[in-house]
Amino acid sequence: MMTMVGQNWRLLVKHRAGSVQTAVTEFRARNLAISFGVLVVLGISAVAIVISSGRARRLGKLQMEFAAGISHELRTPLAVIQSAAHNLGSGVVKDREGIEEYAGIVKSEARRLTDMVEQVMAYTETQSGRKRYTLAPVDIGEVAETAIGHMGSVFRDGSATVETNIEGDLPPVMADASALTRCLQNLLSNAVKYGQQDGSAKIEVHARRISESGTPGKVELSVIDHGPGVPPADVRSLFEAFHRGSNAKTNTPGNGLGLHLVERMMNAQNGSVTYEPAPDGGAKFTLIISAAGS
Amino acid sequence: MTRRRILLVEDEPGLRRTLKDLLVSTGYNVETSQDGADAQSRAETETFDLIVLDVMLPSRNGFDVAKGLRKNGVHTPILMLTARTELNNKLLGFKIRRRRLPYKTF
Repeated sequence: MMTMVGQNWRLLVKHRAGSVQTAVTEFRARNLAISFGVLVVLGISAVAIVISSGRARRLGKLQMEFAAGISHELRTPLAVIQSAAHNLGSGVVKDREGIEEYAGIVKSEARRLTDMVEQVMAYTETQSGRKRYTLAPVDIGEVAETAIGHMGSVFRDGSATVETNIEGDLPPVMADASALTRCLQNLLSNAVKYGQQDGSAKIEVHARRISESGTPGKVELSVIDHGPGVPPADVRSLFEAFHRGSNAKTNTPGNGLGLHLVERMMNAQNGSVTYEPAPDGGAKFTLIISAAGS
Repeated sequence: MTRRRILLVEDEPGLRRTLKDLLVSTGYNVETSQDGADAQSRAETETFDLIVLDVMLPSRNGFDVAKGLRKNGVHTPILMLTARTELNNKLLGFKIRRRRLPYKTF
């Protein structure tokens, strides 16, 4: 506000807030709010850094354990093959029956090595995003048959039994046949390893249709075992890479990639995988995938 | 001459078979076990000239079996068999007074 009186000038300046005291108070309050905001942002950043470094440390530890575990997993079948080759070469085994048994041992260990290498390669491919899945109508019955067939001697030597229950009028699903088979195989392999009770694993494979109005619906493919189930502490990290169940014994084969790969591969096929405890306390894993349209 | 008796403790069926064949062909009488607890029980109740013991076993690992045997007064020589070549495992093996700690590299 300015007033002029005669030739004498008098200049009056007034802040919008009223008095200078009020203006200073407002200024301080604003500065305080800004400082508080900056502190909050800094605090959030510090918490985020702590959480992210904790995660990085945990992932690093899991990766180290994975490297140690995979080297043991690779060495064991190699040791069997080397030992068998030594016995064959030095004439320890000469009779036809013995040679055939040795051929079976070498074949089975080579299969084990191949599975492990394929698992690691599949992980690398899903991580790099190079892997492309071709979705086409796939018959669930054929997928189950192939996956069970790949499990080979496990279901023949009595250490595990599998019972399949696939609905008769099940539609084909939109999936990559090879990837869906690998997913089912990983679940079966886990059921054999962790679903043991009294020295044997009793496994069930169920497939059923879920109807949805206006769409071809979905198909659920479940693997159920009657073992001790997943410990509650492991459920949260079940599908994380490199995570191994706390009930995995020192000699339980595996690399902590199986369930992680199942989740990645199912997502890539527009499907999903879920876990829930089986009614009798065992484990129930379910693959959910879209049915193919008519 | 009585054949020397060996207890071979190995959970991997392929290795159990090939190692047993190799030892039998060399002139030993070989008994096998695939489980740590079973191996300890047999080693405490039967007489063996040597125990070939894998480290990674179901129910009880090889180090624990060896410690248990020594604690219970069984002084049968033990050869520990392992794919674990880390220094800590070697030291642990010698700490329990193994004569040798061969590795599964064959």
